Formats: sequence, structure tokens, C-alpha cells
Amino acid sequence: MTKYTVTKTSVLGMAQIIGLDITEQRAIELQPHLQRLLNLAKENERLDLSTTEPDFRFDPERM
Amino acid sequence: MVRQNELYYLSIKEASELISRGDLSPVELMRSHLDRIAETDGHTNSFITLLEETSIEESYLAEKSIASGKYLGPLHGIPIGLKDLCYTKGIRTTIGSQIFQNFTPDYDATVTGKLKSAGAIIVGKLQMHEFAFGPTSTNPHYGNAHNPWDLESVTGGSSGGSASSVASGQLMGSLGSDTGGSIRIPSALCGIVGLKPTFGRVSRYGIYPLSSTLDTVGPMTRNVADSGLMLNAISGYDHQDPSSVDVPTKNFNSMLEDGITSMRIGIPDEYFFNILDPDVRRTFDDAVKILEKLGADIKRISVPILERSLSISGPIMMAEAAAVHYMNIRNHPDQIGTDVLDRLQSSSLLPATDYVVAQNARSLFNNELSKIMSEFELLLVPSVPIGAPKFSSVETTIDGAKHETTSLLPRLTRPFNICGLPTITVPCGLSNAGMPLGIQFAGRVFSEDTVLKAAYAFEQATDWHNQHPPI
Repeated sequence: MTKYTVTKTSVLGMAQIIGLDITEQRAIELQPHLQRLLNLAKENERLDLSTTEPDFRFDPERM
Repeated sequence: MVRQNELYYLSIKEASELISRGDLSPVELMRSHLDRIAETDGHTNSFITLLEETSIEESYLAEKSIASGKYLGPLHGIPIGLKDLCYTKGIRTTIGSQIFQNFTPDYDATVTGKLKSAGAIIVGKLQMHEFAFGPTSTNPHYGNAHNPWDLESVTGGSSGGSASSVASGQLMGSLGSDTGGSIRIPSALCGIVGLKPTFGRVSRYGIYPLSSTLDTVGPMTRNVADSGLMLNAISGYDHQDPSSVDVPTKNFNSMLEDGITSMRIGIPDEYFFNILDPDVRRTFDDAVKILEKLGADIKRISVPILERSLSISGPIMMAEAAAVHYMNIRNHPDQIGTDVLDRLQSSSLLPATDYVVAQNARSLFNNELSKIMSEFELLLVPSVPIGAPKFSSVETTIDGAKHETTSLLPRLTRPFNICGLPTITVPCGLSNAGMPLGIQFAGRVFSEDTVLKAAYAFEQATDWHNQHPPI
């Protein structure tokens, strides 16, 4: 599973890329939240998704 | 005539039968509820906006209309509240946010209009977690919603005021919204019935969004029959909501009395029982025994994909919420509460690929659930892993392991937002601390009538729905 390590610097860099103006202190505060979210998202790598497509629209007939 | 001091704990069904026969005045019913609000809302803080004057006026109009033979049906003259993200023409709609403190929509949400057309009287706009983005209904702008069973405990969220108002007899029913459990969590923690309909069954037009592929709107009531009555009023296709599904509506209470003999109900082995307070486990086991006595055919089943519930729902909800609030977190961060701002800003940094992968995983999840639902009419699981926590609770210890309390609350409700299936929570007992607990029935797509039938059978075999908080 891919390992993401989120640091103050990486939070600042990502925020800068998307135009979110935050201070160094705010980057430190956001770091654990982003780390947790990325850890969660990476758990989906355990799944075999080779035969599925993203489910952006609810399809009641399939359910 | 019914004595006024008993009126506020009548069910919608009971009150409507009395009103339709001319044995109960909508004005007296309304006064009883307004008195109850005056008596209790200083403690529960269920309301952000109370519409006392118009409620009385409309109750007089309802009385006059009914007396002249123009009875609109079971919601006519019934005091109802709306989570404060349902747009109301000419009435402020705050979304629980300081940013929207002066926002007054110039149109009604479709559900608002449908309730009005059914004769319901909108008594107020109800407390909620800011932007519906949290499971406690603590709110730095309008005060916390307090659980009427214990005022030092949270209601759960995000539709906390919708739950506390109905549980405490301030209202006969309310609307909530449910993206990851926001109807079912507070309903379970406040001891009432909460129904998340099938995705697309109820219009979201005029509902301030949180997560476009997960959001649903549904009723919160004190019993199952009332839930069906409210769903009858608010369901139906709406071309103004792109996610609305054009399927026929029906009387969702038509099968209520049919019983559950031989009904195939599955209890998934995975996920739902990994982290569970012993009181919740005990009351769930008791509920299973009751359902078996009622004739249900209950089987333990394996659905391994359920273990991925959080990794699928989390990134989807977070990314979509960050997109909704793209401008708010840039332009007004100082007007957003700390917990919500933390979630929104960190979510805005989630790579798009992780969102798409989560939606792809959702496909797999839905394929697996679809197979299971072809074999079983219902899934049965607990509603929330714990009873309502105290406001001060940061961590909760279960079986010797510490868990972040707020992370526990939406754990068991989220799977059914992923797949969009109709799911109801009904009261199933009290914890040793005296707080309400609930169980969930999840049904096949658009089978709300079956979900209500099973919930009703369970409810009628127990007495939990007749118990009221000590407030």
C-alpha cells in the first residue's frame, strides 16, 4: 500500500497549488487531518478495481 | 376532547384521526406544542428560528379549512419542523452557519412545498451541525443541540435539532438530511424513528448540499407509522433535482400490518460488530430474538466489502463537501467553526485520484451489496456503536481499546449511504446509563414499504417508542 507522509511543508505546498492561503501554523494544524484522510483513501488500494468503473451516478436498476 | 397537557405526545396518526373527526382543534394542538417549546427549548436548544406567530395563524386557517370540509389529509394542521438547510421562502435558512446568518431564500425547497401542500404547519427551523458536516450538532454559532434524555449529552448529528424537538414533544415530526447518517444517528441517540429513503426517492431541490452523491432527505418521527405518513407527503419525482428518480410513489404504510413471517433478514458478520459497546450488543441481540419470535428468517451472512465502508465513503464525502464549500473556505474561513474548517480545508487537499478511486470502489461495493440484496429482503444491524456521549467525551473505550468518540458515531450508518438503500432506525432499548439505542433495517432499492413494515412489526412488539425523555 502506498505510504503518504504528510508534513507541514507538503500541506503548505498542496495548499499553495490549489490557491488556499494558509499560515505555517494552520498547515501544522491540518497535517494530522490530511494524514488520516489519505491513510483512509489508500486502503482502497487493497481492492481489485480492474473490472469496475467509478459510480458517479446512482443506478437504482443495478441495486 | 383530549386534554391539552396530553397533546404534545400524541402521534401524527392519532392527532390526525382526532382532527379529521373534529375531536381535536389544530389551534389547541399548536398551542400545546408552543407551550412545550417554551417550557423545554431553553434546555434542548432545538430551534434556530421559531415561527410562533405564523404557526398560530396557520393553525387557525387549518381549523377553518377543515371545518368547511377541506381536509387535506393526515398532515393537515400538524406541527412540523425543518432542519435549517431546507429552503423556506421568506424565512431565513442558516445552514447552521454564521456565513448564512442572514440568508433568506426566495423559494421553498420541494419538500417544504410538499409539506405545506399536505397542510403541515412549519413551526420552525431546527438546530444542526454547521453545514451538516459533523455527527454531534455542537454548533459554535447557534449553540449546541442538547439531548433531552440527558442535557449533558449530544443529540448526535447533523440533524440534532430535528431529533431533540421530536423526542421532547416540541414537534410531531421533522425533516432531516442524511449524508453519512445525519438522520439516523440523532434519531437513534434521542430514541426516535429516522428514515433515510432510497437515494433519489425524495427531492433535494432547495436543500443546501453537503455531498452530491450521498445526500438524502427524510422524516424523523416518534413512531414508524408517522414516518410513513411523512414519506407519503414528501416523496416523488422532481425534475428540478438531477438525482431524483422517476419511480411511482405509493402509500408506504400500505403493508404496515402485514407482519414479517418468513421475511429473509441478513445480519452481516463483518464490520458492524467490530467495535460495539456491550449495551448496544445486548440490545441488538435482544432485538434479533424478538424478530425471530415474530417469524423472521434471520441468517448470519458474510459481506467482506463492508470492511471498506469508511475508506469508500470518507474520501467521497470529504471531497464533495470541499467542492461545495470551495469559496467559503477561501473567503470566510474566520466564520467557520474549528472542527468543520479543519475537515473542509484538509479535504480540499485530497488528490482527485483518491476521490475517483473511492467512487470506483463504490461500484464494487454496490455490486456486492446488490448480490446480497437479491437473497435477502433486509439487512439488520445496530444504528450507532454507542449511546449518546457527553459533550465532554473525546475518547470512548470499548473492550479496552480507545476510540475517538466523534469517529464512532457515523461508523454504522455510512455503508447505506454508499449504496443508497432505504434504511430506518428504530429504538431498541436503553443503555445502562439510560440513553436510547437503535437498530437499523436496510431494504432493497425503493422498498421503503418493506423497511417500514419490518420496523413497525418490531416496534409493536416492544414498548421503546412509548418511552419519553425525562425533560
